[in-house]
Amino acid sequence: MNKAKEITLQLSKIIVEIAIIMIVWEVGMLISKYTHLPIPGSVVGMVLMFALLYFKIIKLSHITGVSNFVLKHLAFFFIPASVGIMASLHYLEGSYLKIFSLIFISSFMVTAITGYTVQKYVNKKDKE
Amino acid sequence: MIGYVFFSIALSICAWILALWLNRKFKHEVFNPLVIATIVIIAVIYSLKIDYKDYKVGGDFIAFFLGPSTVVLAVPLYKQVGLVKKYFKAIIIGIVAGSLTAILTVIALSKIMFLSETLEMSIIPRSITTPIGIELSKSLNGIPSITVVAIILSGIIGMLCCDVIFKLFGINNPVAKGVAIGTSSHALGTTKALKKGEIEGSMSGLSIAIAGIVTSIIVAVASFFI
Repeated sequence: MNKAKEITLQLSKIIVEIAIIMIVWEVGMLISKYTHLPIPGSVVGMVLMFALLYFKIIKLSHITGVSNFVLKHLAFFFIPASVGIMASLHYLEGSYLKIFSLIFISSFMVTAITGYTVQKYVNKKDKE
Repeated sequence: MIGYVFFSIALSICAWILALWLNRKFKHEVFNPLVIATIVIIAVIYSLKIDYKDYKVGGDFIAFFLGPSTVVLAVPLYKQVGLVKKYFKAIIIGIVAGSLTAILTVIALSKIMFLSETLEMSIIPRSITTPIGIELSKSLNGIPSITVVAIILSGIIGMLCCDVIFKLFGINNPVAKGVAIGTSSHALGTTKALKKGEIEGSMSGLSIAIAGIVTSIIVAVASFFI
């Protein structure tokens, strides 16, 4: 009996956590839609969630279980898009190698330049 | 129809569990969970002669949760807010430098490789988060489907190569690593940054939002002048 109660409690906590996250996301989507911001709703939702945490309206413990789980398995939600590449490859017909090497070189340079720049300014700040 | 929804969700979950297990067992970069899961699913779909459209019905259901899960990225960011305040200038300068590099390299390489203008415009938003990338692609008269392919490819390449790049250029600061990963390979890279540590993960998550916004602004300003 006690165990059943515990499971129910755990389950309701998970449902509440999911509900909080979904509501913040939905509000973000609505804000993005009605203000015609060039920022997608999910990013607005992220900023909103940050503000709610920062101003202690939502406590970290209110969403910690589900958010830890989601952060751990974030890449899972990319599976359909990744599988979807298969269906869109014909758009690149004849230029596979070119596009692949373009993206490779460009990604390489962006990672290197961003990392290098941030590290330079971080070190400068640390010396102050 | 409903059967396919359940089938593709179940298939995706099984492929993911298998991929995580292989990743833990071999502990090697090549066993990237997303890459493995994708290969497994494509192999199953092909061998059972299932139409991609039928997989997509369930796939769209999973992809729907990408939005709400982006909201969760606020959590590591909140935990590291002190670092963000301290290094705000370094982070912003890095992201602007990275976003400019992303756009300029795509333009320059497209010219060198004689790619069509449509392809070039579709690939320009390749390093940012998918929803912003699609909108940007439309505004540049690109083809959003190509943009999505370029975005996912960028994410996978960035995820697989970032450690080599960091080693090559002596980048060892966790803030620098996180911002670099988020700026070059959006949420996909962030999945890897989160594994490195909370600082890397939070900086990467923050950079997705800022890089997306910065890139949109750069493109808007540039197309105003051209």
